[in-house]
Amino acid sequence: MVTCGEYLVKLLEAYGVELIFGIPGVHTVELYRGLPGTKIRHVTPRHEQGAGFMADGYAA
Amino acid sequence: MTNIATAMGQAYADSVPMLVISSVNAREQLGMRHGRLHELPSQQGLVSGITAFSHTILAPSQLPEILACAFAVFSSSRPRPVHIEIPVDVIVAEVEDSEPVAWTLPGRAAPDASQIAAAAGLLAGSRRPLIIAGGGAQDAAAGLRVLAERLDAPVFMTINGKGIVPPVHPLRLSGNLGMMPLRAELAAADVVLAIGTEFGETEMYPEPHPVRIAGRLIHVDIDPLQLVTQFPAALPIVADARLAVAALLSALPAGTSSGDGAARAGAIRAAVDQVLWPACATHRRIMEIVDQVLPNAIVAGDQTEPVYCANQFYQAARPRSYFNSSTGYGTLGYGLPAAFGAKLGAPDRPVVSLMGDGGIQFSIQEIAAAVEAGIGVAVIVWNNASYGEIKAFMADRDIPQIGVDIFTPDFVAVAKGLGCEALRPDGIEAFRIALAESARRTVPTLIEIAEGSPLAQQLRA
Ligand SMILES: Cc1ncc(C[n+]2csc(CCOP(=O)(O)OP(=O)(O)O)c2C)c(N)n1
Repeated sequence: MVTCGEYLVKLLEAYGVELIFGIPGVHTVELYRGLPGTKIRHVTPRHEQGAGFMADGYAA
Repeated sequence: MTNIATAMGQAYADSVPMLVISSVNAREQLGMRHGRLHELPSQQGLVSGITAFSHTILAPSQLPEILACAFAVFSSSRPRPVHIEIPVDVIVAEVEDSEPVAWTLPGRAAPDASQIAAAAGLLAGSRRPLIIAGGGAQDAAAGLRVLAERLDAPVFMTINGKGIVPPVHPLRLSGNLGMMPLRAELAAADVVLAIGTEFGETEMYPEPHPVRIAGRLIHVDIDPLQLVTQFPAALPIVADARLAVAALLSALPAGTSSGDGAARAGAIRAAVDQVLWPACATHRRIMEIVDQVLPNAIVAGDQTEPVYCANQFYQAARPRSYFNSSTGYGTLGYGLPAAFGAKLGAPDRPVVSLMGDGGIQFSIQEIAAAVEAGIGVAVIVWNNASYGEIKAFMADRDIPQIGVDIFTPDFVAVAKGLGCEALRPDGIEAFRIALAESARRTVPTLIEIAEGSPLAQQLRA
């Protein structure tokens, strides 16, 4: 068995996600547990608005 | 959630795909007003207006299906942010460790064959066709060029459509749809083919005008509602842009040319040059140098004079090379982090961020994130020590200029403090060298150009 959070990042990897922008907080740390088991890179902005703008520039 | 809402609003308006995954309080606590950490009455309610959809995962079994929905939006419909929130108790709920499988995603919608036949008929009979290519037509660029040549139709590209037709093409138009030469052509064209555009007013800065199309409008968009906004089309065709262009090409025999497209396009380009802002001279020079020193660059901008100017004259070498937050929702602070993201997405291309002194203060701390992530981009800061656009707007309307003359920090010192390279070139040669060197670094290079500085004067000359 794995947690839903660990399964989520595996699923994202299966869809071809290569990069995630985020700032961990006490409510989201469990989304990070499974990340080392994937090839997904994590970039840490200094504000969540920066995460969104970076993701936008990445996709545009 | 609130911190990312502005960025989601910008992506929503610009039709950019973005998957936003957040946590939310535990299921039994939702909506209970217990004053818990990060509690909002409803996160989902807050962001649902700036997403294609927002879903709360109430049980782990929902996850595969909802992720498939998210990626189906990105693959097949108008791209927009999707929000998935997972309650903290669901995040840690146990699920079977089965092999994760990406669902097979739907393709893109092809156009209605009878509408394509009708559109081909209109275009073949047109004596003065005009094509308008928006951000939604970027993936149709190759076919659209052939179509334009076959019809001999001038092509206007919106800001997000820049690069669909290459800079040297004889059918390429410049300027914006609010400018008189373009408005006159919109009124004179007997058939207008518009693909992947909402005719947004932010296209037309500094002088937006309602778009008036006198001839028959063939409007292609992936979003049916977009086809019935602002004004009706003679032929509203809901379809993927690339598939629609391919279908039009196979329905249109070669040799349907109107004959004078290049001459019309040339005359419009010349007329547009006459109505550009005086400030465009400086910024045209900046962009010429950028193109020479960093060919094939991606230019991500904010809302500042160089961007408003480049929107009017700049020609991108290929699609997905020029975008900024002067379009759509219109948020300051976008252009710096967006450039960082663009570099992560295209590490082999040079990336340039165009910022104003006001806008960069909304997000300058992201330089630290870029240093950490090893992102080498050139950040050009146009420093007029003011919220210049608004200051000018207040002056125009005879409003006291309050709150617009801002103290601006020493950007070179701030940027160096954040760990990147930073300089104020004293002339054009130093500017060139700074740009060239920026491309060899693995940290950003902030290049400040102060209005009125010797460099700015040289650029204007
Ligand atoms: C988040 C946000 N706040 C305020 C505005 C209003 N606004 C638009 S342009 C502008 C001035 C920007 O100043 P600067 O970045 O220095 O560029 P300049 O106009 O001086 O070239 C302001 C305040 C906005 N668009 N977005």
